[in-house]
Amino acid sequence: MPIRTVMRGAALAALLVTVLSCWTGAALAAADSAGAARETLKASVDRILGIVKQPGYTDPAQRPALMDKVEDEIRHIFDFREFSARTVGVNWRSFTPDQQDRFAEAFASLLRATYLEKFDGYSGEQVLFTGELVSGKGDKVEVQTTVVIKDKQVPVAYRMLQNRQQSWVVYDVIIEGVSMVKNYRTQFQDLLEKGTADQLIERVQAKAEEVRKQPAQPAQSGQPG
Amino acid sequence: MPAGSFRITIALYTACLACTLLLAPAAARADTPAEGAQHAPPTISADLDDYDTGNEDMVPDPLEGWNRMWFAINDALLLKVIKPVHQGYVAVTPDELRSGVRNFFHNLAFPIRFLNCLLQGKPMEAGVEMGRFIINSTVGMAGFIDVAKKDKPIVEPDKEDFGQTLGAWGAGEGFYIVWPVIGPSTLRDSVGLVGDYFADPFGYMVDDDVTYFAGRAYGEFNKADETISSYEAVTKSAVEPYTSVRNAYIQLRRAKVAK
Repeated sequence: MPIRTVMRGAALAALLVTVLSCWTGAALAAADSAGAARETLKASVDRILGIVKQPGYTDPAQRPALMDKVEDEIRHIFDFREFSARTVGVNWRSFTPDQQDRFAEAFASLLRATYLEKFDGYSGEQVLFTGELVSGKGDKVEVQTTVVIKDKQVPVAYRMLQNRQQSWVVYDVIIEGVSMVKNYRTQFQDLLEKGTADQLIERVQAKAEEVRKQPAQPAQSGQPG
Repeated sequence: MPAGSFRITIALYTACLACTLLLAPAAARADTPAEGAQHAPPTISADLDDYDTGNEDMVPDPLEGWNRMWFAINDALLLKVIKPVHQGYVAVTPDELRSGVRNFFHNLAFPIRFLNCLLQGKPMEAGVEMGRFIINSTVGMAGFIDVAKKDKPIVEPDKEDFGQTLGAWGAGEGFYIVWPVIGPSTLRDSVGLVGDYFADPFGYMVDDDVTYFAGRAYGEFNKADETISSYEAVTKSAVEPYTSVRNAYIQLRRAKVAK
């Protein structure tokens, strides 16, 4: 066999092995990321459901303490800074660090007011984990779930990434195909075209206060917490 | 009911029945999302975009002034008029009646969904719609009872309409429009609504316009709680409600077209 053919064959084999190992490596990494992200989210969802399922949750005297516990859980799994930065988009870099902090706080307060304070207790919601989507680099995972409320099924997907502490955190929630980040971004884009960062922060704070003042209404179809 | 439209109804039922024979085996294929999927390897998606740069590409809104006006009027109509009236309606009617009316109108509008499943090349979903229609129209007393819901393999597929079909065929959205009472739409989806009207048997069943509009309005009013709760889900946490509803509408429709 001519030496060149052997060389070419060896080179080809080496290339094939490299490509294959890269490919399986990527696939394995993807499976790892997906598993890690899903387990982190699942553990968090289980803990939150565990808190809201407690009989004390419907008791006004015990509720504030339990609500703080839920908020603590949410702040661990949900990265409000990342979420804020993404909703503001390109304009985020023009915010001063102080404005960034105040914005993230105001936004967290709005989400707390609308989703946590108006959630009046567990009514049989179930969360099914249905699959994952992983980015090519394996650094972002979309964990797909279905929330079952009575006889309705609502697809809810969580976009997650690994933060500096290497833990998986949520940076966007996609309900029935509607991304919260994208939705808020169009709103903030609009407001930042017409006004300043400080005015935007005030608007977000004012909205949170407005929501707090509204009387709690009986849930018509039970919103997911 | 005049004999003419009765004939149309009969013809429709016959055609549907013929199709069932062809499509019934497909009905068993669609199923509920299963928890077991977690053991499957994750899908690798190169474009799990992180969208952290660039502004959101928005649908053109040349009629913004008009749209904002109708948005404000619709908002007041929905929350200040329809919502309290509907709460009164809920208080005086049994749940069974409301779900019955809802199921009846949903079942009646079956040709819209069926046709659009076919036009988008989704024979499985068309088969499921067909299976549900046959079961609910017969055993379910003309659609009043959603018997098919209890049957897991024929769980309701996504509602298809002409707007989605046009989108699936590559038609652009055109621009955003807020219609009085009807609410958010786009140029494309408005054309789709006309298509839906022609595929809706209710239009052929009643002859005079007053009965038609009263019937449709009652059907919509009957399930106003669904409309109100999804509207409030979008607006309650919105800092700029008009933009939020516009974007939620566009995202929702794009997700439906992509499916």
